[in-house]
Amino acid sequence: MKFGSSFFIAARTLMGRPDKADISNRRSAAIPRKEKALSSSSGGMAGAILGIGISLVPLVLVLIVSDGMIQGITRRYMETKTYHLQVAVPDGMDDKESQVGIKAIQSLPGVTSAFLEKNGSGVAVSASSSGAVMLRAIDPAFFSDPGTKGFLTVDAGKIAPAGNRDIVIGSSLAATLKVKLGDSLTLITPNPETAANETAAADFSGYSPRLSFFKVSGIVSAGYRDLDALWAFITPEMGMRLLTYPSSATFFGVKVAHPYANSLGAAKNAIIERLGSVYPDWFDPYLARTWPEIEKSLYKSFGTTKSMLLFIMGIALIIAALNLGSALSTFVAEHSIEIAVLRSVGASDAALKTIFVGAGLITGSIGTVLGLTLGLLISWNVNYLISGLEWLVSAIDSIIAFASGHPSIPLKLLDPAYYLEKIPVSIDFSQIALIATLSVALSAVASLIPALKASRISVQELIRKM
Amino acid sequence: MNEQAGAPIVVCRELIKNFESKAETLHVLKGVDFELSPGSSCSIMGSSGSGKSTLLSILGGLERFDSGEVTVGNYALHQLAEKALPQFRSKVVGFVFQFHYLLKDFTAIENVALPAYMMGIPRKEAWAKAKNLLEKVGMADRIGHFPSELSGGERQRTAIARALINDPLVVLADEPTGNLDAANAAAVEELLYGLPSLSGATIVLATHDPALAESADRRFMLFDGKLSAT
Repeated sequence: MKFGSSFFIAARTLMGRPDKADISNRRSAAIPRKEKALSSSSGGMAGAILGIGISLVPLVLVLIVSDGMIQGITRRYMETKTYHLQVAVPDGMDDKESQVGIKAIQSLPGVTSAFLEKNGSGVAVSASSSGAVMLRAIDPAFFSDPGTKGFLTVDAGKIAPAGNRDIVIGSSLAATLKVKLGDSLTLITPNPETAANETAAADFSGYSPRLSFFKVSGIVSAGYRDLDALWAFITPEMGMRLLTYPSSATFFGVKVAHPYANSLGAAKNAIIERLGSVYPDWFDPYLARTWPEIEKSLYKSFGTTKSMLLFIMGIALIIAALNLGSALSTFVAEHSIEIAVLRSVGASDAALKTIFVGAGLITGSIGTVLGLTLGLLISWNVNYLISGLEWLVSAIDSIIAFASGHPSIPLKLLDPAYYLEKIPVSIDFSQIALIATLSVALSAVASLIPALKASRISVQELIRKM
Repeated sequence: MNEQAGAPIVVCRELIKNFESKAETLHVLKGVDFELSPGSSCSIMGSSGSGKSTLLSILGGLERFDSGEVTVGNYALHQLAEKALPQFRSKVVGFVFQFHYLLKDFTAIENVALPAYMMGIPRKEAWAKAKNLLEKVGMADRIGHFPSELSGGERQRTAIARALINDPLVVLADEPTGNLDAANAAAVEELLYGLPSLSGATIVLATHDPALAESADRRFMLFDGKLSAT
């Protein structure tokens, strides 16, 4: 039996053809009861198709959204905080010496930019509040870097501090400190003289804070609260004055053309080799780290969460495939007479198995196409759907609040206070293709038992029952 | 037909078939002997449970037997491997059942063409052959209709056309008119007994109906597991 005929029988038997109602009704009285029993509904198979389709929707959604969110967060971290690579350098490295290293790095193939950054901790005090800050003193070129500009948006004022008394802070920090553009801000940092003192470093006795006065010249946002709540940018010159070892760190931040590619490791090795010759006295390979090494625990946690979600959704897909197997078993039972007839006209066991595995493949394929289409549509529009849901729930809440007299609390699912402002959609079509293949393969496997049942239907028993 | 004239197309020698159950052994066929010539017709009568359907199943390669020799065409069924049976069923015999058992989701022409298409005959060729056969059984204007749109007689004529699609040497009909009214039964009877001249096939017909059995070239009675000419 040829595959074409198996496919034809499987497809037609599964999909059926609507009988013309008028003729059916006219003739129905003449159809014997036993023959009517052949007219089984294809509801079970439609349910199986729907089951596979529906189980694929969350799987696709989780895959795309989690990938998008992970990439959204990692990209923000990379472009605005960790860089693609970091090379720790000695504290107090002067501008001339650092420029030699930066130029050496920038000349490497694949490297797009490199900056000297000095950062450390401090406390910011405003007229009405205070909070811990991460002070960052970076080369002004960092703020005009396309990667930085792509993820660091200006809420007010300027993106970079222009003068030594200017400070640019994160939007969440501004909210915590209750300051706006032009307001004064006092920074408390360790006094270099007392911090260097051995006694002060040991038990803080004799520790004297240093107060520095700034004016808020810009409020920026990286779109992620963890970052926006801590940052305060000052000029490199002020950084040299306020941030001193051991309460600060100095490093080269490096950006490359393809931070997600395997070539990142090669770029790291090239930097190690180059800086080894530029700074032979102090440079050591361990001082260079890639972005996955810098934020290892964060990215591992993202990866684990994604894997767990996919695992749960995968179980849903397996259940859907089992449902298909069950529907096909029912289908075989309902069509035992047709199967027996096919046997009587020469269909072999293998041919019958092919027909039913084919039926499983067709059902699985239709369900997969439906599920992937719906999943991709929802994923592409996930931000609109969330906004719509927020609007709807908030509207209902407003009505209830109006009726009860209680204040209304608008729903904010994607509150940047907790997560991203919007979900970045990232579609990896190779992963979608993998899901599709897995789904169709599972359908084929699930149809093996019904196919085996079909091949065991006996024509003799059918004849004896007649 | 490629059988030599005179050489029997069906040969049964000492055919024995028992059905074993926990409680008892049922001796259905106790040594059936008969021969049929190509292009002839024969009827087998007998009461319910006498073994008519079992005998047809054995001739059609659907049922194995305990002992004896059965040859249909060039196939010695007592020696034929299980794997070769589907090919035997598709090439040598055609079945007509009491109920038409047409596939409900397939049109008349599709139902008829399927056995040929399954054999590997190209789709166009199988459909053309099916159309030709449907025309021969008087169904030319119903080829695109589904079984639910056909009368009982039309369905059974379609089933007969399906049995003929692979040019079988033998058509095995088990109570083919048992589910039809008198007028349709007469039409189907005429069609079945006309098959030897229509296609050259040999007809073996099992029935309760003496009137239907009467028109056959040879008539047998199956009683107590033995076949005797009447």
